[in-house]
Amino acid sequence: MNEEEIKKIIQKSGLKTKDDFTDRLMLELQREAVEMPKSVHSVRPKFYFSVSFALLLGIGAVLFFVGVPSFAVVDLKINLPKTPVFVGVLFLILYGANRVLTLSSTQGDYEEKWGT
Amino acid sequence: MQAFRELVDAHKDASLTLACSILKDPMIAEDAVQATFIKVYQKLHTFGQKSKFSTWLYRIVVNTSYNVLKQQKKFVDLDAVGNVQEITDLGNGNSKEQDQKKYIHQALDALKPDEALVLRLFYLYEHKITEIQEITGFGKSKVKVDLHRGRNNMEQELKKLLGNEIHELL
Repeated sequence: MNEEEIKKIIQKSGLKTKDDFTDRLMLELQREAVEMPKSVHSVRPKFYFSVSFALLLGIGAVLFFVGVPSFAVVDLKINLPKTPVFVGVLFLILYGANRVLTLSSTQGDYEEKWGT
Repeated sequence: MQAFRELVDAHKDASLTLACSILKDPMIAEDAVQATFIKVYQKLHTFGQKSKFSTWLYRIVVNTSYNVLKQQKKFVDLDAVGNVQEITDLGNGNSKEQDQKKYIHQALDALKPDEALVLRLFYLYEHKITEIQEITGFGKSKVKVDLHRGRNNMEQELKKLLGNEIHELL
């Protein structure tokens, strides 16, 4: 069988969608527009994570390395013990990371569903 | 929305045919095509017009179909079940034409997804090798090898199905 013959045969292999394909698709698009979870699209997890992580790390570093007494210099007169503050900052970092991971997971599920 | 409807109408049959080359089941392929068009609607603004719209669309059809195939393989071994499915909608035509199309589809379904896809892109939609590379993401040599093997395997499958009556297809 030569190439032209194969071509003729394969040209008969086109498929057609069902008659209501486009209508069903349009309905689905309208439904998706209503149901699209806003939380996934209203935040940018990477940006949120980077900023909050940098901010919290910065505060933690200042409190831990510079030392609490030096706050007196800027007349804040805060006298907090180092360890609880460090634990608190660490808790906030972990909380932030957990939230970002939850959001990423939600977005991952959404992307897996639609393959975007 | 009306413009998008026209786009869908223009490309839905070709998209289904390509998806079916990979997935072998028209029902599953139609679901994949629907998911593709939803994706395309949401990402239409990212289409940079660097390539033809059809090339961009078919690339998404192909990627979506391979993703669906990957997910299917997690649950079912296609080879164990037998991958020749009944084609439900072959379009209009008399019973002889329908029979011919059925055999052609059976032969194409017996091919590997890559081979069936490349054969249809090349012979049915008359894409050039470079366009096929863009749509499938395959290298030039793989496209050529799949074309060559696809042609041979297609002929063998048709001979298996039809014997000497193979020339009635022409």
